[in-house]
Amino acid sequence: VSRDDRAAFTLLFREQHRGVHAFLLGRTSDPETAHDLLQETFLRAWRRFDDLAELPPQRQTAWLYTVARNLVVDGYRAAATRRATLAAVAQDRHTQRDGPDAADASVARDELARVDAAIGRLPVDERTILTMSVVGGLTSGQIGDALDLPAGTVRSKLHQARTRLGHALEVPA
Amino acid sequence: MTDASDRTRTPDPAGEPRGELDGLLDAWAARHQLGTQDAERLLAGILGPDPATTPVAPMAPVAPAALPATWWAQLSQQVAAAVVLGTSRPDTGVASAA
Repeated sequence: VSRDDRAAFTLLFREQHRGVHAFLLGRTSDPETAHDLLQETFLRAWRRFDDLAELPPQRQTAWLYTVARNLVVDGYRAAATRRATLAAVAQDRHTQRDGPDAADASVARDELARVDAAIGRLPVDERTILTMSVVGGLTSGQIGDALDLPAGTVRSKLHQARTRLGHALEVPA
Repeated sequence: MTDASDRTRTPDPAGEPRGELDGLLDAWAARHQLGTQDAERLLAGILGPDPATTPVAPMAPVAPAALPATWWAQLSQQVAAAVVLGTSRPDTGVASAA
Protein backbone atom coordinates (compact mmCIF):
# COMPACT_ATOMS: atom_id res chain seq x y z
CA VAL A 1 0.00 0.00 0.00
CA SER A 2 1.52 3.28 -1.04
CA ARG A 3 1.32 6.55 0.83
CA ASP A 4 -0.57 7.94 -2.17
CA ASP A 5 -3.23 5.27 -1.69
CA ARG A 6 -3.59 6.13 1.98
CA ALA A 7 -3.88 9.81 1.16
CA ALA A 8 -6.44 9.20 -1.58
CA PHE A 9 -8.49 6.91 0.62
CA THR A 10 -8.38 9.41 3.48
CA LEU A 11 -9.74 12.05 1.12
CA LEU A 12 -12.50 9.73 -0.08
CA PHE A 13 -13.43 8.87 3.52
CA ARG A 14 -13.53 12.50 4.63
CA GLU A 15 -15.66 13.51 1.66
CA GLN A 16 -18.11 10.64 1.85
CA HIS A 17 -18.41 9.33 5.39
CA ARG A 18 -21.08 11.80 6.54
CA GLY A 19 -23.37 10.97 3.66
CA VAL A 20 -22.86 7.22 3.92
CA HIS A 21 -23.34 7.34 7.69
CA ALA A 22 -26.58 9.32 7.31
CA PHE A 23 -27.77 6.89 4.65
CA LEU A 24 -27.11 3.95 6.98
CA LEU A 25 -28.75 5.71 9.90
CA GLY A 26 -31.81 6.39 7.77
CA ARG A 27 -31.99 2.81 6.59
CA THR A 28 -31.42 1.14 9.94
CA SER A 29 -32.79 3.69 12.45
CA ASP A 30 -30.09 2.42 14.77
CA PRO A 31 -27.02 4.58 15.50
CA GLU A 32 -24.85 1.70 16.65
CA THR A 33 -25.61 -0.44 13.62
CA ALA A 34 -25.12 2.56 11.35
CA HIS A 35 -21.67 3.08 12.87
CA ASP A 36 -20.75 -0.59 12.48
CA LEU A 37 -21.92 -0.66 8.87
CA LEU A 38 -20.10 2.57 8.10
CA GLN A 39 -16.91 0.94 9.29
CA GLU A 40 -17.61 -2.20 7.28
CA THR A 41 -18.41 -0.20 4.14
CA PHE A 42 -15.14 1.71 4.24
CA LEU A 43 -13.19 -1.36 5.28
CA ARG A 44 -14.39 -3.05 2.09
CA ALA A 45 -13.56 0.09 0.15
CA TRP A 46 -10.03 0.05 1.53
CA ARG A 47 -9.56 -3.64 0.69
CA ARG A 48 -10.72 -2.95 -2.86
CA PHE A 49 -9.05 0.41 -3.17
CA ASP A 50 -6.79 -0.66 -6.02
CA ASP A 51 -9.90 -1.08 -8.18
CA LEU A 52 -11.93 1.69 -6.59
CA ALA A 53 -9.22 4.30 -7.11
CA GLU A 54 -9.44 3.71 -10.85
CA LEU A 55 -13.10 4.79 -10.95
CA PRO A 56 -14.26 8.37 -11.53
CA PRO A 57 -15.56 10.11 -8.36
CA GLN A 58 -19.25 9.67 -9.17
CA ARG A 59 -18.81 5.92 -9.62
CA GLN A 60 -16.80 5.72 -6.41
CA THR A 61 -19.78 7.30 -4.66
CA ALA A 62 -22.16 4.86 -6.32
CA TRP A 63 -19.91 1.96 -5.30
CA LEU A 64 -19.90 3.05 -1.66
CA TYR A 65 -23.67 3.38 -1.50
CA THR A 66 -24.18 0.05 -3.23
CA VAL A 67 -21.97 -1.66 -0.65
CA ALA A 68 -23.73 0.17 2.18
CA ARG A 69 -27.16 -0.77 0.81
CA ASN A 70 -26.14 -4.42 0.41
CA LEU A 71 -24.84 -4.55 3.96
CA VAL A 72 -28.17 -3.28 5.24
CA VAL A 73 -30.05 -5.81 3.15
CA ASP A 74 -27.73 -8.65 4.18
CA GLY A 75 -29.40 -9.25 7.47
CA TYR A 76 -28.32 -6.23 9.43
CA ARG A 77 -31.79 -4.73 9.45
CA ALA A 78 -33.15 -7.42 11.71
CA ALA A 79 -30.31 -6.94 14.16
CA ALA A 80 -30.90 -3.19 14.11
CA THR A 81 -34.56 -3.61 14.88
CA ARG A 82 -33.74 -5.87 17.81
CA ARG A 83 -31.22 -3.40 19.16
CA ALA A 84 -33.54 -0.43 18.65
CA THR A 85 -36.21 -2.24 20.62
CA LEU A 86 -33.78 -2.99 23.43
CA ALA A 87 -32.60 0.62 23.42
CA ALA A 88 -36.20 1.85 23.62
CA VAL A 89 -36.86 -0.43 26.57
CA ALA A 90 -33.67 0.75 28.27
CA GLN A 91 -34.65 4.36 27.59
CA ASP A 92 -38.06 3.83 29.19
CA ARG A 93 -36.47 2.35 32.29
CA HIS A 94 -33.94 5.18 32.46
CA THR A 95 -36.66 7.80 32.16
CA GLN A 96 -38.70 6.14 34.90
CA ARG A 97 -35.72 6.24 37.27
CA ASP A 98 -35.11 9.98 36.83
CA GLY A 99 -36.01 12.21 39.78
CA PRO A 100 -37.42 15.75 39.67
CA ASP A 101 -33.93 17.31 39.39
CA ALA A 102 -33.59 15.82 35.98
CA ALA A 103 -36.89 17.32 34.80
CA ASP A 104 -35.42 19.73 32.22
CA ALA A 105 -33.10 17.13 30.77
CA SER A 106 -35.95 14.69 30.74
CA VAL A 107 -38.18 17.09 28.79
CA ALA A 108 -35.48 17.62 26.18
CA ARG A 109 -34.84 13.90 26.01
CA ASP A 110 -38.53 13.17 25.66
CA GLU A 111 -38.77 15.72 22.88
CA LEU A 112 -35.90 14.10 21.00
CA ALA A 113 -37.35 10.67 21.67
CA ARG A 114 -40.61 11.86 20.07
CA VAL A 115 -38.66 13.09 17.03
CA ASP A 116 -36.76 9.80 16.95
CA ALA A 117 -39.96 7.80 17.07
CA ALA A 118 -41.71 9.96 14.46
CA ILE A 119 -38.75 9.70 12.09
CA GLY A 120 -38.62 5.97 12.73
CA ARG A 121 -42.24 5.67 11.54
CA LEU A 122 -41.58 7.41 8.22
CA PRO A 123 -41.46 5.26 5.09
CA VAL A 124 -37.87 4.07 4.69
CA ASP A 125 -37.15 6.04 1.52
CA GLU A 126 -38.42 9.29 3.03
CA ARG A 127 -36.58 8.64 6.28
CA THR A 128 -33.33 7.92 4.44
CA ILE A 129 -33.58 11.10 2.38
CA LEU A 130 -34.48 13.20 5.40
CA THR A 131 -31.58 11.75 7.39
CA MET A 132 -29.12 12.31 4.56
CA SER A 133 -30.29 15.90 4.43
CA VAL A 134 -30.34 16.84 8.11
CA VAL A 135 -27.66 14.52 9.54
CA GLY A 136 -25.43 14.19 6.47
CA GLY A 137 -25.89 17.78 5.32
CA LEU A 138 -26.21 16.66 1.70
CA THR A 139 -28.00 18.67 -0.97
CA SER A 140 -30.87 17.21 -2.97
CA GLY A 141 -28.48 16.83 -5.93
CA GLN A 142 -25.96 14.89 -3.84
CA ILE A 143 -28.68 12.69 -2.37
CA GLY A 144 -30.02 12.08 -5.86
CA ASP A 145 -26.55 11.07 -7.10
CA ALA A 146 -26.10 8.71 -4.18
CA LEU A 147 -29.52 7.09 -4.48
CA ASP A 148 -29.78 7.29 -8.26
CA LEU A 149 -32.85 9.53 -8.10
CA PRO A 150 -33.63 12.83 -9.80
CA ALA A 151 -33.07 15.81 -7.51
CA GLY A 152 -36.74 16.80 -7.99
CA THR A 153 -37.85 13.42 -6.64
CA VAL A 154 -35.57 13.89 -3.65
CA ARG A 155 -37.08 17.31 -2.93
CA SER A 156 -40.60 15.94 -3.28
CA LYS A 157 -39.93 13.05 -0.89
CA LEU A 158 -38.26 15.40 1.55
CA HIS A 159 -41.32 17.61 1.48
CA GLN A 160 -43.56 14.59 2.14
CA ALA A 161 -41.33 13.52 5.02
CA ARG A 162 -41.46 16.96 6.60
CA THR A 163 -45.23 17.13 6.20
CA ARG A 164 -45.66 13.74 7.89
CA LEU A 165 -43.28 14.72 10.66
CA GLY A 166 -45.06 18.01 11.19
CA HIS A 167 -48.35 16.16 11.63
CA ALA A 168 -46.82 13.56 13.93
CA LEU A 169 -45.11 16.15 16.13
CA GLU A 170 -47.93 18.65 15.85
CA VAL A 171 -45.68 21.45 14.65
CA PRO A 172 -45.85 23.36 11.36
CA ALA A 173 -43.74 21.73 8.66
CA MET B 1 -21.84 20.38 -0.52
CA THR B 2 -23.32 23.39 1.18
CA ASP B 3 -24.72 25.12 -1.85
CA ALA B 4 -27.45 27.23 -0.27
CA SER B 5 -29.55 27.20 -3.44
CA ASP B 6 -29.83 23.44 -3.27
CA ARG B 7 -30.29 22.83 0.42
CA THR B 8 -32.93 20.26 1.10
CA ARG B 9 -33.75 21.71 4.49
CA THR B 10 -36.22 24.52 4.80
CA PRO B 11 -34.60 27.46 3.07
CA ASP B 12 -33.88 30.51 5.12
CA PRO B 13 -34.20 33.30 2.58
CA ALA B 14 -33.55 36.82 3.76
CA GLY B 15 -33.09 35.76 7.36
CA GLU B 16 -36.64 34.47 7.68
CA PRO B 17 -36.95 32.58 10.97
CA ARG B 18 -36.80 28.85 10.59
CA GLY B 19 -39.72 26.75 11.71
CA GLU B 20 -40.11 24.78 14.89
CA LEU B 21 -39.68 21.57 12.96
CA ASP B 22 -36.25 22.73 11.78
CA GLY B 23 -35.25 23.37 15.36
CA LEU B 24 -36.29 19.88 16.36
CA LEU B 25 -34.56 18.36 13.35
CA ASP B 26 -31.36 20.29 14.06
CA ALA B 27 -31.33 18.99 17.64
CA TRP B 28 -32.05 15.48 16.42
CA ALA B 29 -29.30 15.70 13.79
CA ALA B 30 -26.76 17.01 16.30
CA ARG B 31 -27.49 14.01 18.47
CA HIS B 32 -26.81 11.59 15.63
CA GLN B 33 -23.99 13.20 13.68
CA LEU B 34 -20.69 11.40 13.73
CA GLY B 35 -18.15 13.63 15.49
CA THR B 36 -14.88 14.49 13.83
CA GLN B 37 -12.89 12.58 16.44
CA ASP B 38 -15.05 9.49 16.07
CA ALA B 39 -14.68 9.66 12.30
CA GLU B 40 -10.90 10.04 12.48
CA ARG B 41 -10.69 7.15 14.94
CA LEU B 42 -12.74 5.02 12.61
CA LEU B 43 -10.52 5.98 9.66
CA ALA B 44 -7.38 5.15 11.64
CA GLY B 45 -8.86 1.76 12.54
CA ILE B 46 -9.54 1.00 8.90
CA LEU B 47 -6.15 2.10 7.60
CA GLY B 48 -4.06 0.67 10.42
CA PRO B 49 -0.65 2.12 11.24
CA ASP B 50 1.20 3.82 8.42
CA PRO B 51 4.30 1.68 7.77
CA ALA B 52 6.11 4.69 6.36
CA THR B 53 5.76 6.71 9.55
CA THR B 54 5.67 4.01 12.20
CA PRO B 55 9.02 4.21 14.00
CA VAL B 56 10.99 1.00 14.12
CA ALA B 57 11.55 -0.17 17.69
CA PRO B 58 15.17 0.43 18.69
CA MET B 59 17.19 -2.77 18.93
CA ALA B 60 18.67 -3.78 22.23
CA PRO B 61 22.48 -4.02 22.27
CA VAL B 62 23.68 -7.54 21.59
CA ALA B 63 26.72 -9.05 23.31
CA PRO B 64 29.37 -10.23 20.82
CA ALA B 65 29.16 -13.79 22.14
CA ALA B 66 25.43 -13.84 21.44
CA LEU B 67 25.71 -12.73 17.84
CA PRO B 68 23.98 -15.20 15.54
CA ALA B 69 26.04 -17.28 13.20
CA THR B 70 25.98 -16.08 9.65
CA TRP B 71 26.31 -18.03 6.46
CA TRP B 72 29.49 -16.27 5.50
CA ALA B 73 31.14 -17.04 8.83
CA GLN B 74 30.30 -20.69 8.43
CA LEU B 75 31.55 -20.72 4.84
CA SER B 76 34.76 -19.02 5.89
CA GLN B 77 35.37 -21.72 8.49
CA GLN B 78 34.72 -24.46 5.93
CA VAL B 79 37.11 -22.91 3.43
CA ALA B 80 39.80 -22.54 6.09
CA ALA B 81 39.36 -26.19 7.11
CA ALA B 82 39.62 -27.35 3.48
CA VAL B 83 42.79 -25.36 2.97
CA VAL B 84 44.32 -26.84 6.11
CA LEU B 85 43.34 -30.35 5.02
CA GLY B 86 44.67 -29.83 1.50
CA THR B 87 48.02 -28.53 2.62
CA SER B 88 48.52 -31.16 5.34
CA ARG B 89 48.34 -34.05 2.85
CA PRO B 90 51.07 -33.89 0.19
CA ASP B 91 50.00 -35.26 -3.17
CA THR B 92 52.03 -38.45 -3.62
CA GLY B 93 50.34 -39.45 -6.84
CA VAL B 94 49.26 -42.70 -5.22
CA ALA B 95 45.60 -43.26 -4.55
CA SER B 96 44.78 -43.98 -0.97
CA ALA B 97 43.90 -47.57 -0.30
CA ALA B 98 41.31 -46.39 2.14
